[in-house]
Amino acid sequence: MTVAAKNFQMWLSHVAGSTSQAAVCRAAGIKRSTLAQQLVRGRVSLATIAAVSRSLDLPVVASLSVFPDLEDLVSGIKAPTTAELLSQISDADLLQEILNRNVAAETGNDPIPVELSPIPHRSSVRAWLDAIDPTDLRQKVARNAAMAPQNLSAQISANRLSAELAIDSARIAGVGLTNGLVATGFLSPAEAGWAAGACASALRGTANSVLASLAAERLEALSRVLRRSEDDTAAARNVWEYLG
Amino acid sequence: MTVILQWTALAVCLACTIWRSPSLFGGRNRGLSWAFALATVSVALSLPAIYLPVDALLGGINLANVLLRLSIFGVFFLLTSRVAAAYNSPLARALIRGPLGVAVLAVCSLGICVAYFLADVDGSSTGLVAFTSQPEIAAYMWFGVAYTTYASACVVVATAKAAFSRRPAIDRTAAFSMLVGFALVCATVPLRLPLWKNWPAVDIMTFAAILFVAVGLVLVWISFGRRRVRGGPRA
Repeated sequence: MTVAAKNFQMWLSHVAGSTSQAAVCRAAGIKRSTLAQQLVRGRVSLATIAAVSRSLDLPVVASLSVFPDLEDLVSGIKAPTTAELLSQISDADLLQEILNRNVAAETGNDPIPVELSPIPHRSSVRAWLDAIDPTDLRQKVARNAAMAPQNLSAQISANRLSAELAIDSARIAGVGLTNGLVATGFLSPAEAGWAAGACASALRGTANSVLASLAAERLEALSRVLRRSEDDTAAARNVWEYLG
Repeated sequence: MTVILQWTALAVCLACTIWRSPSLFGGRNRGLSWAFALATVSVALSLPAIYLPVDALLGGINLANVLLRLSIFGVFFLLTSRVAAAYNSPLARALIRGPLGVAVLAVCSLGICVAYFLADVDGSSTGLVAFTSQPEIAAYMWFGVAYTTYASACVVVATAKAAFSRRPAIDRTAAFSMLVGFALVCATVPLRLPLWKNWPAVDIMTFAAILFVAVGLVLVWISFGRRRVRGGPRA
């Protein structure tokens, strides 16, 4: 997703004053040529706005809401649901929690809290989409964005989702508009307005049975991904075996 | 155009043969190395500059052309049966290596030999163009086309499936290149009929087909060479 270069330059002169473009780029860690190219094409990416915004210590979501079509981003911030929070915990951490609880039940001690790995995890986008609406959300998102469903699937399989689609999905599912941007790694949980330690406390508050069925779903999804990649590998290996 | 294509095809086949020469006797996929060696012979014998001296050596009775035809059969048998196996098509492999495939190969080879002995082909002529008016030579040529078309048709579907699958780009390109090559072989058939006779087009398509298949195989070798870099299986 992009915004008009004209709007970006207005915003930049407002927040950065007379700072040169070169200095802005250096501080934001973006290549000067990248920004120059975006300005020439007339469209600036949201990632650029986020990077500049971070370098100036401005809240990213508030900076984004300055632009047309994103005005409701700040007012659209909503605390993530428990399902969303759990979706952002990696498979390994979920399983570790189950094991720790199991050990705790056997020894009679309190479970050792799992040190959660940073968001996003390897299948964070798929997990988040499954968490906010398990039915026909994807079809609606694809239709809304006028894109082929298989292109959306390809993004999800690669654990990617454009900022526009992440915001759209959240809007359709009626959850906090910035939550999908956390799942894609575009925003940190804090930038999106998530309370510190929200994932950990959601995990602690989840019943064993719910955790077990969630882990089962995750393992099922994982096995599909693994089978696919094993099939691909076997096919490539077969070609090499006979024609290599 | 045709001459450039022919010499290019010869250079490519020769380069591939030399590249694979260590595995001609023992080593990885010996059959494939032999297919390239035979392909080099076949392409070389379709060039007058090589055909005429070789045929003179064999007595000037166009025995070199029989040699050419039979080595083409060898190339197609070795190559298409491997392609069918590589792209996981047991049906295509059975049609080529099974009783039917071997029967087609035997009938065509026998047909070639019988038609050659029945025809009057005294005096070297590359591609036997000087004798095309003889019905025996027409039959001789159709036997030659029959097997190559049969074998190519068997692997068109298998390579097409691989070309439009979700394999990595280099593997899909390799499959697509072979698909184009084998499809071109089949596509020459109508142009050999009296109605649409177009020999220059047939020549161009034939040698283009050789190049496409060779490029496809080279891409497979590149993909094979990069397998460790790509994190693929240790084959």
